[in-house]
Amino acid sequence: MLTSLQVEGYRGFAGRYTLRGFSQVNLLVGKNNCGKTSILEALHLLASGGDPKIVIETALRRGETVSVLEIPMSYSDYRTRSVTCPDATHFFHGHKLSSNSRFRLSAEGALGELVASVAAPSGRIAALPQVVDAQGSVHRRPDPALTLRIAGSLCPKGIEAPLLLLSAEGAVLGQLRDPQWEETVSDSQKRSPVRFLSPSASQSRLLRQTWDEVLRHGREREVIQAMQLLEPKLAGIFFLSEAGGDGNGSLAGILAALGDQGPRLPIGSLGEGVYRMLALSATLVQTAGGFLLVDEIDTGLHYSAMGEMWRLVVRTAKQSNVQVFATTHSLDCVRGLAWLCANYPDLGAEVSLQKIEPSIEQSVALDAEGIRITADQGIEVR
Amino acid sequence: MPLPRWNLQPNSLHVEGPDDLHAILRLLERHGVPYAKAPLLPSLPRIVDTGGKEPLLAGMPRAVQVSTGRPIGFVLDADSPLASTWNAVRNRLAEAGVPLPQAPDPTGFIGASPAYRATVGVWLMPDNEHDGTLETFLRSLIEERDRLIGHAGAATDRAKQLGAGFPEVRQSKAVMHAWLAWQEEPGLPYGAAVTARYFRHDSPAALAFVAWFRQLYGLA
Repeated sequence: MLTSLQVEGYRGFAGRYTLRGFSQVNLLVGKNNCGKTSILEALHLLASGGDPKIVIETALRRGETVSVLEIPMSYSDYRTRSVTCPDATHFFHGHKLSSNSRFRLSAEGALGELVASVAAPSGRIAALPQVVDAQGSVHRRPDPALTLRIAGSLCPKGIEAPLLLLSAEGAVLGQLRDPQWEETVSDSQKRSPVRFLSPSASQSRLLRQTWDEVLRHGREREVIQAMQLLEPKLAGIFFLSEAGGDGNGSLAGILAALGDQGPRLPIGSLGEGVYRMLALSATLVQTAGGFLLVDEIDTGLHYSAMGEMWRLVVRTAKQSNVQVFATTHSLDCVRGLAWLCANYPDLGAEVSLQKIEPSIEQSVALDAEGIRITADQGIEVR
Repeated sequence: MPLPRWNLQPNSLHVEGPDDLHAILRLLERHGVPYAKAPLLPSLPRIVDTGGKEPLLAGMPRAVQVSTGRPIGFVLDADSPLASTWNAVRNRLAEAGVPLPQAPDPTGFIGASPAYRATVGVWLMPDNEHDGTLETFLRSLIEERDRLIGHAGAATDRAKQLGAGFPEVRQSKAVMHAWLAWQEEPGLPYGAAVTARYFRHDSPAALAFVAWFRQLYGLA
């Protein structure tokens, strides 16, 4: 289990910033733009062993992109073409990138350390592959002006950490990956699983993918048991085969059985809260032994469901040995955690609340007692 | 009288109980602190009833730690006596990195937590110098020529002899409520009695308290 995290020169954190006192389930709070989501993303990158795919995924999710002109390769078509690439600039403090930019992420308890450093390309870098578009025109991306290497302490000696190839503006043009790194560090079978739930992700697609995994591992009983905290009559969840691939985020074809008899009900008819909770519990069960990162965990939940949501999350996290990091802006969500601490002390012992404030050097960590006292006295922790 | 709609105010002033909350709020209003005006000034603090001296002290370090970039104040009775209340406050605030002097300043304490970048204020009722409570503070707001307060004291003593059940330490509260029972509108609570002007607003302790409050929360 992670006990602390330190970030340096990373996104909104200029100097060293430390979070301590992690528990099984950790709620990150703080003002807008204080870096709550950045902390989740730092954990995501660390838990992936510094996989460049996570850098790209994160930038795209945030809409951090930049246009790059691709150069025509054929004489018949001499038009340059603009493509959108992920922008690596914003990972560095001050949204600036130069040939000596660097950030560092390090954790205690597990996951080790990552150092991301930018440099001018040294030696020969193989030309980036050419791109052929639908019209058959051939283009190539400009030569990289900078490289970004994310070296992790989990990477054995003698194996090259992957290299992101960047334009002078920070656009990610491509990446070079050592096959040996792929085998030793990136292989997800060997790493603790990590999942990032973002409020903007398609609930339906996420649910279908996760449910498939849950079925494959025979864990549906655990999910139903977790969900019964919310809906005691819930007997089963079913995904109809023909309703799967519409891709429009609809929940059509996901049915819930309440009791043993009678028609099964569309999950959407039970309220947004129920399928949010289904997504959470299925993901928790499927992340056993790993890390679940949830941005805005209260999304879609009525204030009165917050206490039970925490009960489900903390209990399932404990059972499945998942370390959870979640963010919220919602006072109701914080109060829900305080309710858990007051009513279920055994579960309360497994939580921490972390107030993120980049202008001081470390987060303020509250344990169950601190969460309860601040909530009782209406002390603003967010 | 309803409380202001102050749920969204980030700054806070923590007090022991509802009597303190209402008396302080209405006294501040009489001094022109615009709690009755909408929209509320963003710097005006919520006054938080913490449910007693022990919970107030228990919440103190965490309340300071989560108050980065904003002022936070605490008002406690100096009834245990003053030196030991001050000592308890010093110990609690040391946990949040706030250095406090050996003894309180008569003008009220205002300092900072460098570690958590919070501004912290402490006021001990009645005046940071004498043992006492909110009632001692309110007693200073009764006109000197008032003839009832002496009688309230004597009547309360007599009631005690006759077997009245209030404990010794609540004597001043019993006197104050006996006195309030004989006002034009009998039995108003402290806050309403401040608004009704049964109390003055300008004893030296009250003036010092309001000046401390204005300085702590940056009000002109």
